[in-house]
Amino acid sequence: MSDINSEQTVKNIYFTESRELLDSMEISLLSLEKDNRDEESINAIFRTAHTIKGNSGMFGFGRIGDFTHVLENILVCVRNGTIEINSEMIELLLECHDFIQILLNHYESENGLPLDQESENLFKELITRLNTFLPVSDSKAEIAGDGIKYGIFDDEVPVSGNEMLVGNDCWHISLRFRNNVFKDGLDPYSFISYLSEKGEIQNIKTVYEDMPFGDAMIADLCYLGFEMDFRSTISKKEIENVFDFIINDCDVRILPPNTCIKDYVKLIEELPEKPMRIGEMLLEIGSLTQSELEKALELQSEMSGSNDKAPEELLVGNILVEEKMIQKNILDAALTKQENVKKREESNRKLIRIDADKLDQLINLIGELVITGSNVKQITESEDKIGIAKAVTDMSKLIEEIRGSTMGIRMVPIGETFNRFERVVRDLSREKGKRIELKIIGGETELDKTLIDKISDPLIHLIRNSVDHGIGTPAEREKAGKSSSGTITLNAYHETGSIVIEVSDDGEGLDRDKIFSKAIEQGLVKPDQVLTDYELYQFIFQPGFSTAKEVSNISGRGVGMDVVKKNIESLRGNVFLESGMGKGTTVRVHLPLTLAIIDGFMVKIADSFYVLPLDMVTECTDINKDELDSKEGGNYINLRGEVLPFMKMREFFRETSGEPDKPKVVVVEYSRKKFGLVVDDLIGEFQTVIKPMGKIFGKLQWLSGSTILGTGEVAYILDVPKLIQNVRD
Amino acid sequence: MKLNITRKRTDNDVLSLKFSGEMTVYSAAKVKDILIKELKSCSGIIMDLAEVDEADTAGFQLLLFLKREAGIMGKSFSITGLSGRFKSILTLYRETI
Repeated sequence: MSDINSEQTVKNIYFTESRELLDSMEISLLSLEKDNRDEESINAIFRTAHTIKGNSGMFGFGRIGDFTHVLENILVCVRNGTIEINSEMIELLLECHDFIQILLNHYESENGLPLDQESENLFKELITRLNTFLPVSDSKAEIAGDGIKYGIFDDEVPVSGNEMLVGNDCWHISLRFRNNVFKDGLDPYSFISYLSEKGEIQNIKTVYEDMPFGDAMIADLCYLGFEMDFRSTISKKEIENVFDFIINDCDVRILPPNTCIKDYVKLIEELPEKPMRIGEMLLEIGSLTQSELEKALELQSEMSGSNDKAPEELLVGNILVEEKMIQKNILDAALTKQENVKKREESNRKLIRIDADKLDQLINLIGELVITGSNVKQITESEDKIGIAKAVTDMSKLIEEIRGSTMGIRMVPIGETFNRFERVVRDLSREKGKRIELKIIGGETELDKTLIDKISDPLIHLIRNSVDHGIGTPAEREKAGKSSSGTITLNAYHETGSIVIEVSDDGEGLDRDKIFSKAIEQGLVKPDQVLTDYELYQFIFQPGFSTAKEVSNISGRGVGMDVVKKNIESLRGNVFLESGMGKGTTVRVHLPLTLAIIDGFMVKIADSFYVLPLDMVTECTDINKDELDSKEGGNYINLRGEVLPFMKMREFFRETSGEPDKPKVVVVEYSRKKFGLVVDDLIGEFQTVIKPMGKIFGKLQWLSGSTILGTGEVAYILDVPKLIQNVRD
Repeated sequence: MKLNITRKRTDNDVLSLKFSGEMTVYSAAKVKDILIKELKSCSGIIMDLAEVDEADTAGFQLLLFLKREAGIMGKSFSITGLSGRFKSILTLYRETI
């Protein structure tokens, strides 16, 4: 058990490391594109291929080894100058980079099964293309010498038999016709021939084991069955539909592509013929490989061995279950597939690279804590009350620091993610015939690892939007009096308790009129309504809202911005849009610093405690009750000459009892705007662990969680951005 | 049911049978009876199916059956000509008889 685990750990490290290498390879390739003499980059790319190749050998990931080997050959020539770097070469190397990524994903999730046909073809294509670059003298011999094996896989990972997936990516269909199918005027030929129009029958085998011999055989009864492998993109339902008409005269069993081996075990059990015979047939038509079959038969005999019932009884009793099982098989296969993906994501999340300094700091702090701890123990034995108090204070201070630096471990600079976007911008702008540069500012800004993983997709979407809609073609830009090449800027920085990530372009900006008329068209506003920019831009986040004249393959379908917004909101973040016609667009994403622990500021309203994120609190002030009440209608107070909108939290929570004479105002700031929250009393700073609220509270958007106080009471953590929205509305 | 069988005994006691017409579920029983009888009295059978313009899966099943029976009895069994219809059936089922 522990062996498997440690092997898995080593594999995880391999995958993480390989991905990191690939990331840096991509950056090197892109910089090589700008300067094709950059030796450092060439070396870095070479190292990547070399390391990945070496490591893949350890796990027997054959395809990765084969591929990187060829790649390495090319890179050797690039390094010693035999092959010149040109844009075609860079393009090919980028494709190779992508392909290695596909291979990594494959080996990580597929439990060592063969590649699918598509990847296999890509593999061959890329190898061939790489070879055309090699100088004639050392090309083919090298490859033949090292024995690149097409189609032989020596990398089967031992997995427990039942869960093992079958490599074959075809549907497997078993048909058993009943005796009177001919008499009913039906000809299996027409159904199978109809099926063959829906896809490709890869292989088919006639089964006639049950046909009686000699005189016992009655020629107008049907004794046939078929086992076939069927390659098609149609669904199980559609396959079933093919046999709809004959369903009373035929048992149809359908196994999905790449299903669990246990489904085949079940199939072998269910079919009336002898297991060995069915097995042979499955082998013959290529549904199973020899080793898969052996596994299946082994499992099958184990299963039937433990069953004492007579075979007839089994068959009859199982007919009903059988039907359901087929459904279940498909479910199983789908689940297994999902689980694999999930497992991979989990293992991705498990590994974080930490700056050694951060770890050292943490260890130092723990060391000090241990010393202080023993100090506390010593002092408690004496009667020195002041000493105890001091030691306890020291200790809680240390605990706080440790918390801080532990949280810091999860923080990683966002720069790595930003760098990845360079490729996105490059590829997209080429495709669109635009010239676009990506400028990165604040790459060193640190963000929670989980957040970074989750924010990457929405950011890519925003960048795509900028490339596709924001920035025009060089001709269009020159016409508008701008330089022919556009710029997309990614900027990350801290701002009152949140991280802000800006995606801005110097393109055409949002067209107010267009959005407005589209909104009217969709019935979102009335033609005579006057809207602020903020309100108007909110429409962009509506599902299905797009002003793009054409739908392109990148964007414009109107699904996207709403998803971006939803994703960001699920991280307790927010999106803002700023745009000037002809000047460009800036999308600002605000995200909370961390997800789990916050420094809070506790306040009291009536008898309940509430926590506000401390980072958002800018100041607190007293206010006279009269001053609050005297404002008729408008909820504003004068804060040192500034207009401060406020909200009475008592009213918000509908508390009526015991109003204090001197309520307090907590001034919070979010996204450069200040608001006052009127509370009964201020308690003070408070470190809290956010506990998520149950689903019942899902609708209370201003509530981001709860926390338990030292006294056992519950305090609610308020979601300031959402509260502010409430004030605004 | 239209089916004509022309039989010709060749050397080595092999029976050559030329079929024309249909070999379907309607004629299968008949053909089976005839051929089982014939099989017993010869050393092998050659079937010419070039002129069987109608065939179906029952006909196909019959061929499988005859081939197996012949094998059990130790007699030779082969097919010389195939009509277009039979060809398409055998192609779909990927059987060579």
